[in-house]
Amino acid sequence: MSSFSASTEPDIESALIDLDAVSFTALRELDGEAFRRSARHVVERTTHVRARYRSDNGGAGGGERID
Amino acid sequence: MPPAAESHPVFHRLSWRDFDALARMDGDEDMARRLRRAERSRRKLLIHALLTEATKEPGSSGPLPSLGAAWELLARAEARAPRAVNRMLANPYTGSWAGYTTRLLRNGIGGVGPLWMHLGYAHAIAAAAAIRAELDFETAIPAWHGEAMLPSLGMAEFPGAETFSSVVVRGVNGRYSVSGAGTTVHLPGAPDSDAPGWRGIRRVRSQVGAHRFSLWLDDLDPYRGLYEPIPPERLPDGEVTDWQRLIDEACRLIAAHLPGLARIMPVGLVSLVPKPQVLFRNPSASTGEAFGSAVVGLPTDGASLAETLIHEFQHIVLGGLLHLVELYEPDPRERIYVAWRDDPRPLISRKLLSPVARPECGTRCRPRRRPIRSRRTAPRRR
Repeated sequence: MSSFSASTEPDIESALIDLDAVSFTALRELDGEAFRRSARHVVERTTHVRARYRSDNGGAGGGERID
Repeated sequence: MPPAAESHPVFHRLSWRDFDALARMDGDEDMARRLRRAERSRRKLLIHALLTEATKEPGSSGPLPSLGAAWELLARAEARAPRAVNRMLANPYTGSWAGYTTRLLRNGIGGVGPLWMHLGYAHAIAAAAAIRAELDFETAIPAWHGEAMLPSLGMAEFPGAETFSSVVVRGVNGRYSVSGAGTTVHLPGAPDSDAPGWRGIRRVRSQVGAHRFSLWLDDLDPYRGLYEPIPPERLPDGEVTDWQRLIDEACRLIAAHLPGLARIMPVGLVSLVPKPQVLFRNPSASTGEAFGSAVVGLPTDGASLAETLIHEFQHIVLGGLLHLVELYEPDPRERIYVAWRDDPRPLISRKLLSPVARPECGTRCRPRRRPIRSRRTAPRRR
């Protein structure tokens, strides 16, 4: 039997730093270690995104069901 | 004094309770808003990295102003109207642009057109934010085949312009124009309408009781596709009417049969990229980077569209979740069989969730038809 309880287990912490309240003026100046680590994480994951599906302007992927 | 994000960094979080709710497709509006908020942070990180890195590359601005000008215009717009900048950050195609341009810059690969055109889209985002903030300003933005996009607003056309060129956007006393190739296009008072030389992004609204749905039909933005930039594909007005009717029907069905989804869906699905009808199929697609958007072929009826919207909405939610937390180690060589397809497919966690949406709608929105069989699969806890 699992002893896991969703109400007592600590939250999952994301590698994504919360910048919602950070203005663009302040954003430009950010250069702390936590910020750089988070930016590196996001950029690295982004560079690995591959084109599994090509956009096809001629008819919804040629009619292929894409998911 | 360092900003709070530097001295006391806070990271996005997800409770296991919320994770369980998402796995059961039982999320609420607050959860969808938290995913959207995390997406805004992700886009800010990418924009920061892009603009910082690009300024170190000589000639990266091409014929456009330096990228510092885009920072400054965004900051001015934010100081006047923070919601204007938030609207631009929430625009799904800000995400796909940032992802695509990051890959061009970081991976040193060639893209559609020169790099300055993609980097220069930052000026277009800043100009659209400035228009929304009602600023007086002047800047230059890229034009592709004489078509200059102001994201979330519309497109100015300059026939006869070079394949890749720049045009000037101006705002003076609440009036906005785009000039290039010897022509000036004046934006209409309501930018979602058309005017000479201007095509607006049209919006479809639908209300069912207390449920309000609002979807942009974006057939213009170059980053609205699934991976690389694509040219505009303007829907005739008659087809916009068809979309309005089908969206009305779909929303009525969703509100009647899945009221919980009807509450959360408008938070996470804000834009459709309309595509032509494909007989006997309902093609649709979405990407994690364009959080909030789905590419959808014109469906045959409202029930088909309801099914597709629910399905793509689940993809969008899972795409947002995957940006928040890593649920698997990607291995591009791996192929697995699943219960609902005949062909082996790459392992992507979205496969765990999205098939649920179809039977959900199949059984509730189409009660007289045979529901699609599937097996529910839940993510495994570590």
